[in-house]
Amino acid sequence: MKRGVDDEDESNVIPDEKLLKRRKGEVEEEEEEEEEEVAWSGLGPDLLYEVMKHADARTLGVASCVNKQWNKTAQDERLWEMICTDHWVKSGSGIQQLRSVVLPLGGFRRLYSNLKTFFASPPPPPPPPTTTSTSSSSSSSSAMASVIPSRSKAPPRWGKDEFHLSLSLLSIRFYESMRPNNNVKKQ
Amino acid sequence: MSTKKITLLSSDNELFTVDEEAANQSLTIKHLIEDTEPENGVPLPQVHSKILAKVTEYLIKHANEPDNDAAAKEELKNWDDKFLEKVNHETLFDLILAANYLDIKGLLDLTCQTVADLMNGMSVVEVRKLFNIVNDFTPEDEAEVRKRRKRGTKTIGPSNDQANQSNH
Repeated sequence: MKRGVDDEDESNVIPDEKLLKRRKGEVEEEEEEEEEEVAWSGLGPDLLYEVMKHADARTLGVASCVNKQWNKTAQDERLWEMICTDHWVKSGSGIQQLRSVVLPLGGFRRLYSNLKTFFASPPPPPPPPTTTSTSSSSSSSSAMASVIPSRSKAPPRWGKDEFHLSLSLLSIRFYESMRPNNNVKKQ
Repeated sequence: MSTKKITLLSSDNELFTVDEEAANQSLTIKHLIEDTEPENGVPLPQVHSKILAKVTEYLIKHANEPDNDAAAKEELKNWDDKFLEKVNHETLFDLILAANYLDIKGLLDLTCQTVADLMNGMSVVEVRKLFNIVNDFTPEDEAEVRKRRKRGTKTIGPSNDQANQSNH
């Protein structure tokens, strides 16, 4: 019910304000209209994007409801990424933020195990010039370890994307584990 | 150390002289100087003297940006705030266009930030009014985008948005 009232308010209050202003006198009205004559629509999508880069999340939400052009611009994924990363940076060190997400969802060990299980096969290393490629996986890895000793110590190289995907998997698994009752009932 | 002077020519043929270092903050001017080596001033046919005066004021002030001096940075920031304080919307709009055309990143950021700040705390209707924008949504589309926005703000966090707007 409350939501319905709020809806009404937003559309009703503004016309009332307009009425009030009209009553205040036409001189004031004219002054305001002088300001309004600036053709902001002439900014074009690129400059509108530049402006939106500086808007906070709430303003961006409002902007998306202004008209079709603004809506399209405000949907730009890059803008929302900037807002999130901005929050990330502002609220202390990146590591701590990451901790606050990772720890409740299962911890870094689980995150690492996700990384490991899903990216167990390391990205194809530059083909060693000497070893044959037809041998089984276990023997080839041991062969590689002997050929490139540093490789056995270093973990497989995970890029940003793999890391982010693991974070997603972590949260998906957490959600799955939150609903054990459903599974029990079905069984 | 002598600094080379650069003359800029506005659309209404007014001349502005600034140090090369100041002028080079505009990548457009920098490239124009490098490419054409203009003798009678760099022609900027898209910028009126009224706006170019403001732009050169900014360029001169920002010519030697402090790197590590916190106090100087603070002073510059205060200067930036005052720089656009009494500017009307028309000038602000023209400054954005000029900063974009002249490719002055700092000025573009500053002017766009000012516009974004103008919108801060406004409702959709107020933003339309401020920017003189016609609502071209169909009623159904508008209901949809507003619904989507509400859903969005709800998942992001608590919002006093509606409360702010309704108590006038």
